[in-house]
Amino acid sequence: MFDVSKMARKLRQRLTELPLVGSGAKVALRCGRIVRVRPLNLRQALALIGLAAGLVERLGWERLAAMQPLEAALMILAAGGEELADALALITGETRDFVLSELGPEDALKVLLAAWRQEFASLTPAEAASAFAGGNHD
Amino acid sequence: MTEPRRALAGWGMLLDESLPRLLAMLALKLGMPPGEALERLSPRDLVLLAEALAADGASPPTGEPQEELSRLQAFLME
Repeated sequence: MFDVSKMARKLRQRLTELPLVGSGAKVALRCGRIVRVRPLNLRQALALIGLAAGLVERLGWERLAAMQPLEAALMILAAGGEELADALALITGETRDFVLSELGPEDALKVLLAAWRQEFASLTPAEAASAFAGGNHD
Repeated sequence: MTEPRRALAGWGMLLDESLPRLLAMLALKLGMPPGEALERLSPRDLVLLAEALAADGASPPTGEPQEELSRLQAFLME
């Protein structure tokens, strides 16, 4: 018979071993300030997915998919200011005003790349897209 | 599963419509309310816990955990 209390104990133990909401990588901005790329919790991750979905919808998925990766990245930096500012604020934990006043395009790219590396390590965006397309199982 | 792919799977689970059901299952089996799970867990943690649940032989509750689902939906709609 399934022992709920035993399993709850084991899972609570597992929870204590998980690296929950760690400190995150640091990124030096052009202005000399340092921001932290924080690991996101589920609520923040859902918010980030919502922002990305809104941006892709606004810019047009077909249009973005037809572009080279660098071209798409530049397009997002140029035209996705609103969503990007919110996303960068979410990722760094800084205010939106700070992001808008202190982060240039180069900084934005550095933070996004640092966030990607922190979450997905060696996985390239192309590999990630391929894993999603084929089902994300090993 | 390698760590990058586990992280990727976690983000995939956030896009999956079964997320509320998984969170409700965590609430039922672990006593962690969905609101707390959303604050305390990362996408990667979600995969680890889903794997732990599966390894321990847990299967989704047979009855629909309506109360937890309603609570989660209300939380997400805030």
